[in-house]
Amino acid sequence: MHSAYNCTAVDIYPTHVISHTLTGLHGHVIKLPMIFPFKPGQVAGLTLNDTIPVRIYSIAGSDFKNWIEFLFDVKSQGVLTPKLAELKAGDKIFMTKPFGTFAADEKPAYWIATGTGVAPFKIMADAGLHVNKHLIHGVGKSKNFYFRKYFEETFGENYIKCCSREISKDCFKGRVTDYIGQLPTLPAGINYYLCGSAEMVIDTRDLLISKGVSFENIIAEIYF
Amino acid sequence: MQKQALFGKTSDELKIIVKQLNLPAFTAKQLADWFYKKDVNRFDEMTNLSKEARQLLENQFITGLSEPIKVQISDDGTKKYLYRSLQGKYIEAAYIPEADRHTLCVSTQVGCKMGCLFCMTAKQGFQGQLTAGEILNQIRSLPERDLITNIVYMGMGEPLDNLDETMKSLEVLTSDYGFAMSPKRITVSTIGIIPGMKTFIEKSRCNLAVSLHSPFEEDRKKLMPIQNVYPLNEVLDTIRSYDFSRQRRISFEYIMFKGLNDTPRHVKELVRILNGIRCRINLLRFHPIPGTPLQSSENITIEWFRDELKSKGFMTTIRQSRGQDIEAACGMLSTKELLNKKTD
Ligand SMILES: Cc1cc2nc3c(=O)[nH]c(=O)nc-3n(C[C@H](O)[C@H](O)[C@H](O)COP(=O)(O)OP(=O)(O)OC[C@H]3O[C@@H](n4cnc5c(N)ncnc54)[C@H](O)[C@@H]3O)c2cc1C
Ligand code: SF4
Repeated sequence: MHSAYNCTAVDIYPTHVISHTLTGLHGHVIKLPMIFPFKPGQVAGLTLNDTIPVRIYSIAGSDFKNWIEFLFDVKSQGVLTPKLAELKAGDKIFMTKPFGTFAADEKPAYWIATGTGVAPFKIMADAGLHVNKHLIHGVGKSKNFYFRKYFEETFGENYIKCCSREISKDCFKGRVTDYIGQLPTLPAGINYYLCGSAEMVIDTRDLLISKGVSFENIIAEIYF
Repeated sequence: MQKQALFGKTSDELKIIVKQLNLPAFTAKQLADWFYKKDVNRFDEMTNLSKEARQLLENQFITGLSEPIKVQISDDGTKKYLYRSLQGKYIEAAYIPEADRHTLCVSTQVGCKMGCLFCMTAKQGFQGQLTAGEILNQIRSLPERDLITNIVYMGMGEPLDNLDETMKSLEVLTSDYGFAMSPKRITVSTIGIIPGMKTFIEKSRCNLAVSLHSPFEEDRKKLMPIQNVYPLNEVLDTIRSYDFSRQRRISFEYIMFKGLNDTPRHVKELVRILNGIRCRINLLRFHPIPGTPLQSSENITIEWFRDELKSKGFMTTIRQSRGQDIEAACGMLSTKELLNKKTD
C-alpha cells in the first residue's frame, strides 16, 4: 500500500535505460545517459514513478561523457529492486541529481567492500584513482565478484577476493573481516574506505580500530 | 500468520479497517477513543462496541499493547524500560523525571543502520523497523504515562529512516482523535536524512533536533558515515529554507569528545555555520561504550564551550547526564538482552 508519508520529497528527472545486463548470480547493471555531471563516489536516487520512494545507488561506472551505470542486487521483499530488475532498454526511469561526498583521493589507501558496495570503488578506478590502492571485496558466492575481470586487470595482486560461502580458486575463504583479522599488520597513516551494509561497516571499523588503525583514517559509506 | 495490531493506527487507517469488516463507520472513532483516550487494553473491555464487533476484532486482530518486560532504576530517578517488539526483539525507552518536566525518550527502530562511531545501538546492527503502534506502545504502556510532559524521539534508531511509521505515530500523538498532545512538547532527533527532514518539517509541527557533533565536514565523516550521503552544509541549507517560527524549535545536539570537537576552532566554526539559524545548542557528555576510541571532554571544557557559544548569542545548555549508574548509553540495555538471548 502506498502510504501518506513515504518520502517523495526529492526532485526527480526523467531519463531512460540504455541497457540492462546481468552480472554474477544476483547482480544487475543498468546504463543510463549521463544527464548530470558527477564526482566518482557519488550516488543518485532512482525510482520508476513519483509514488515509489526513491532509493539511493552508487554510480558504478561511466565514460564521463555519455553514460553512467549502476550496480544493484534484488531484494526479494523490496519495493524498488524487483521492479528495476524488469527494466529493458528504452524504458523510462527517474533519477535525482548525483549527490554525496564519498570520494577517495590519490593517496595510498585500502578500499574494502562487500557485495554491491564495490560500486563506488569501480567508478573511482574508472577515474584512475586505483593507483596505490588495495581493493578487498567480500561476497558469499564467488560468482558475485562483480566486475571481477576489470578489477583483476586494474589492481593486479592488490585485488583481494574474499568468499565466505565457497572455496574458490584465487580467493580467500572467509569474510573480509576474517581476511583483515589474519593480517599481521596494517599500514598506518593511510586511509581505509569502507562500503557496504551497516553490519559490515561496523564490524570492519571495530576490527581496524582494534588492530591499531586510527578511527580518523576510516571513512565509510553505509548502504542503509 | 501473525494477526495485525490495531493500536497505533491512524484515524484513516481505522476507517478503512472497519469498512472492510462491514462495521458501522463510527466504530473507527470508538476504537480511537478506547486506544488513545481511555485506559483499556482488551477488545472485550470496549463496552460501547457490539458483542459481535468485539468478537470480530478479537478473531482478526490483536491490540498490540504490551507492558515493559524489564526496568532499571537509577539513583537519580531515571528509569530505563525494556519492551519486546511484536517480532520478539528488544527496544528501550528511558523515562527521565525532572523538577519541571517528565520526559520519555522513545525508540523508532530495533538497532540502527547509521553506524555512528560513538553509539551502542549502532553496534547491534539493524534488526527491523518499529510500527507506529510499537513506537506509541512505549508511551501508552509506561507505568508513569500520566506524568509524561515531553516526548523525545532519541532512543534506538534513526526516526527518519523509518519515516512512515514515525510520521504516523506523531499524527496519533498530536491529533484530536489521538493523544491530543501539543507538538511543542515533542522533539524528533535526526542525524540529517534530508528527504525525511523535508517531509517531517512540512507534515508535522513537532520540534526538530539535529545531531551535529562536529562543524567540520571531514571530521564529522569519521564520526557519522551519513555525512558522506547528506553533508552538513546541505542539512543546514535545508533547515534555512524553512521558517522555524517561535512556535517550533530547532536544536542541535553536540556530544563533546575530548580533543576532537571541543576547541576554540570548533566554537568559531560552529558560530559560522549556524549563523542566521534561530536555534538552541545542547551539549552532551559522552558516555563511553565498550571498545570506543573516543573520550568525553572534561566538565571544565564543556562549561567553557557553553560559555563561548552563549557569548556569541547561541542559547546553549549542557544536558545533564542521567541514569549513569544504569546502562545509560542508549542501546546498552537492549544489547545486553540480545546477548542474553543469544547465549540462552
Ligand atoms: C548511500 C547508499 C548507496 C547505495 N548504493 C547501492 C548500490 O550501489 N547498489 C545496491 O544494490 N544498493 C545500494 N543501496 C541500497 C538501496 O538504496 C536500496 O536500499 C536497496 O536496493 C533495496 O531497495 P528496495 O526498495 O528493493 O528494498 P526495500 O523495500 O528498501 O527493503 C527490502 C527488504 O530489505 C529490508 N531491509 C532494507 N534495508 C535493510 C538493511 N539495511 N538491512 C537489513 N534489511 C533491510 C526491508 O525491511 C525489506 O524487507 C544504497 C543505499 C545507500 C543509502
Ligand atoms: S546515534 Fe542514532 S542514528 Fe547514529 S547509530 Fe546511534 S541510533 Fe543510529
